Amino acid sequence: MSQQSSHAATAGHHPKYLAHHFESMDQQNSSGKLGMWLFLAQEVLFFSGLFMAYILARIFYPETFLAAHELLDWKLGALNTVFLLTSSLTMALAVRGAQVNSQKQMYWNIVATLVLGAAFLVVKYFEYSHKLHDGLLPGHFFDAAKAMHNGVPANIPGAPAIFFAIYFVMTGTHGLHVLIGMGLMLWLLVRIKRGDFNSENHVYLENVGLYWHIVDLIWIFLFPLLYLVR
Amino acid sequence: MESNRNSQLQSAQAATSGGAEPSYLTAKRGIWSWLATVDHKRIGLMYLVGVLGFFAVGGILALLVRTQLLGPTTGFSAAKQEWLFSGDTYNKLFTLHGAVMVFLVIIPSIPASLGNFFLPLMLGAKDVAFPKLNLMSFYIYIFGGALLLFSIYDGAVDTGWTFYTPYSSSSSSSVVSAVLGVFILGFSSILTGINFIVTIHKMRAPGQTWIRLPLFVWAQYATSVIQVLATPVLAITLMLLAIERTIGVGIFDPKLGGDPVLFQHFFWFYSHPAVYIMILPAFGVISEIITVNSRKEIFGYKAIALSSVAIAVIGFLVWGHHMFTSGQSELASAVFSFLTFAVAVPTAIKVFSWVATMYGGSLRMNSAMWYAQAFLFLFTIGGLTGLFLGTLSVDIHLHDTYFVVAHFHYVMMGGTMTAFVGALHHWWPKMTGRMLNEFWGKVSCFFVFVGFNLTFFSQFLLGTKGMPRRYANYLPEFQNLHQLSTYGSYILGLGFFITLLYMIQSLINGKKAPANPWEAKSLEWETDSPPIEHNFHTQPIVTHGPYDFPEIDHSMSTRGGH
Amino acid sequence: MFEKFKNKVLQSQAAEHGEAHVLPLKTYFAVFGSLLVLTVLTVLVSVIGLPAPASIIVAMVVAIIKATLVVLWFMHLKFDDRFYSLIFVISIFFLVLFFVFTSMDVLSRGQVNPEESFFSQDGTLLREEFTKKK
Repeated sequence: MSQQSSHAATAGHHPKYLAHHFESMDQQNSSGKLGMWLFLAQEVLFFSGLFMAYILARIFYPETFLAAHELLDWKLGALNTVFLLTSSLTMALAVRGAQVNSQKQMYWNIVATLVLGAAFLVVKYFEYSHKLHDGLLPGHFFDAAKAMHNGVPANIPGAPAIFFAIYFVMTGTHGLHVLIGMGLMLWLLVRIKRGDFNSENHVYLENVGLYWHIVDLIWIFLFPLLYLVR
Repeated sequence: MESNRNSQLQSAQAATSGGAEPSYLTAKRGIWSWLATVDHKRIGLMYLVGVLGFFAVGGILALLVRTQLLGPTTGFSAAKQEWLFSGDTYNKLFTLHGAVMVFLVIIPSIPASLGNFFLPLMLGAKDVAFPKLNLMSFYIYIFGGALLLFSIYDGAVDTGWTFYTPYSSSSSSSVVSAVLGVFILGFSSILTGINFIVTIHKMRAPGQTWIRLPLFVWAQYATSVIQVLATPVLAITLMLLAIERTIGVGIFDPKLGGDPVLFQHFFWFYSHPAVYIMILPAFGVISEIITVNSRKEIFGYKAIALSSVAIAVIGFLVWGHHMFTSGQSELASAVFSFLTFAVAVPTAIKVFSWVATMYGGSLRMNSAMWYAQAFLFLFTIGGLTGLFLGTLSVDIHLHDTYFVVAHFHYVMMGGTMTAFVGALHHWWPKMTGRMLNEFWGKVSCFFVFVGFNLTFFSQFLLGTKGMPRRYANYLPEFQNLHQLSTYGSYILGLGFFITLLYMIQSLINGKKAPANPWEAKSLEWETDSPPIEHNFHTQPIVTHGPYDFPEIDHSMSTRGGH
Repeated sequence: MFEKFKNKVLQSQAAEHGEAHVLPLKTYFAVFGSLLVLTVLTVLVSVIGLPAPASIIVAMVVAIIKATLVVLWFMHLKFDDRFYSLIFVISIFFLVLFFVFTSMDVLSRGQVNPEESFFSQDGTLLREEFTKKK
């Protein structure tokens, strides 16, 4: 009874999308965002291990990195960078759409982001399948002979297996995060269609946006470090 | 109307006679109401059962390890030179003991069970910020634990809980399933940390400023920050290890061109802050127990609160002190050794503050307070011996000996687990609505204290005499101390077993507990024992600090009898 | 110093309570345009073949500028509760800490025992078996 009366006592605004343990939309929204930023901090530290591995491998085998990265197609890497940067734009516009209460803007910008994310993965698929074809695989599976046979100059000094291991682990982990982001966006589209979001209640959309931007951020660093080594 | 909430309350009230709102234990019935609960108190209890269960598993493994060490080499078969377990089996036993205790027991112990239960209560809130995420964290914990234990079936890991390469990247044991289990457990830890930080920031009752928070909350806050920042590095480390094993990356394994010391950097970047995840909540608990049972405002509130944050930060700067003999550069070793001394300072500030709180206090020596005293003694020894190990030159001799084993058991078990059991005694009336038997509480504390010191003090001596850790057998000159340690461990086990017995007895027919048996001043004591589902009957408003005890009248004399 | 920061946080939180800070469309496109330009710059710098270590410094500086643009505008950090910025900065701080300390170890090996070093006197790698041309 007393719980009920304390709710009725606060000025009646208790929309159905306000969870029972929160007092106001403001509290709910800022809690959601704070939680997301903490999760992003965790993502930064997660990828830090991979970047540390990269730094050390590059310190140990500088000539390997110099030679091996030639076998990566920087044009495809640049194309992927453009895809992700554009997807960040469309994602930010989707959030803006929520702020101005436009279901259409929300929906179509998320669709655009999804398409660009898919494009990214398609490019990666082509890159990976070329590597597979040429035996430029990580660790044990690196097959220099196969590469040479295909006309690929794989007589790389140092430890090329390590370079490709780092390449696959870093882009693979990143790619997995892209895939997860796309899954989140599909669910977003369902919720948008359901009418869940408006200018007062869209923190879930904002949070998926924040996640997607971090994924873009990581690629911003991956691209020059892997594809543009000099 | 808000029909859902309405009908829930009505059905809950209908379930009890007299119209009084039922406690969280009885508000909803049936196994599904527990398994699908989003009530932080029920989730806390489920975690508690899990933690205690895994503690029993880890404890039995410990007793097996100690029993192995009763005899040096000869025993059953002089020809085979084996007593009880083979070397291989012994390696698997201590590995599992370590992994279970670290990841399934100590790290979640206070935060997941008591933190979950009491954080919202202490803040005057209805629940944590993300109740469904909380439930998910619990199931991730169970799933990760199951995977870790599955690794036993899969051949069992024999690398030690630290998974050092290159052995772990090439050993034929079930490293992958074990690290996968730990990887998953990490997510439980991270999500709980996020939940707690947001709860503390956003769900405080009106009037509850940061300096009116109980010190348990400050401790949980610092712990949660470490959980969020450090655990992902463990996750990536284990992921890289698993990948190294399967495709041969070549980052950790020297045969493939890697550096094994790198693994240790990656691993200890998490695992050193992890020990602060283990001890900070214990510090919070001790602050609560000591101040309530001294009936006195805690000495140095701000010092204790800020030192928790300081420990969290400095704790990230010292990980290399686990690697002094690993091949790390001398410069790095010197830097880490120097920084390690710094982390002792905020810790010592706390110990002095607790003692100063008791000085001139009106002491209630209940079993919780007995455990708190045991903590002060055991943790101080553990902490001081940490300084020995942090001293680079001394550590060259003591590294990988039983001195290290004794040190970390003093802090982790003598520290965290003692505080955990003490906390259970302190908050049992609130959680269950029953009182624990004080006499048997003190008896078990006595057995635990005596057993603990016999077990582990002898290990300090073993270590300085040169007994290496993780060895299944040893030279005959070490036998006396080993046997003393083993018999001590049986006494220690007995102590905890007694605790289990009277806790069960309390649940069956323990005396009913009042709302505030210890006359404490923090918010969790201002509601029923056990609390109702929504915690408080009306929204509490905070007007004073959590330790706002009246001045003690020292003029009252005890001479002359009453 | 802590007081000033706390006031900034409270101000930014109060600002959040009101109308959501809706940025004009052209801001988004301006940021996007800059990101594309910087990407082109990164590629150019690599293609014209700036020598190391300048190339890697330039590449990282450009990447950091791009990241800052994304974080401040697309992720709205510039206009949101200052506390989120603190969280982000703290995570970067610990990332840098991890890099610096670990690198310090790896790069300073061999000061007492030269055979522990990864590099010989003239800076070439000592790991013969991995540096020999196959």
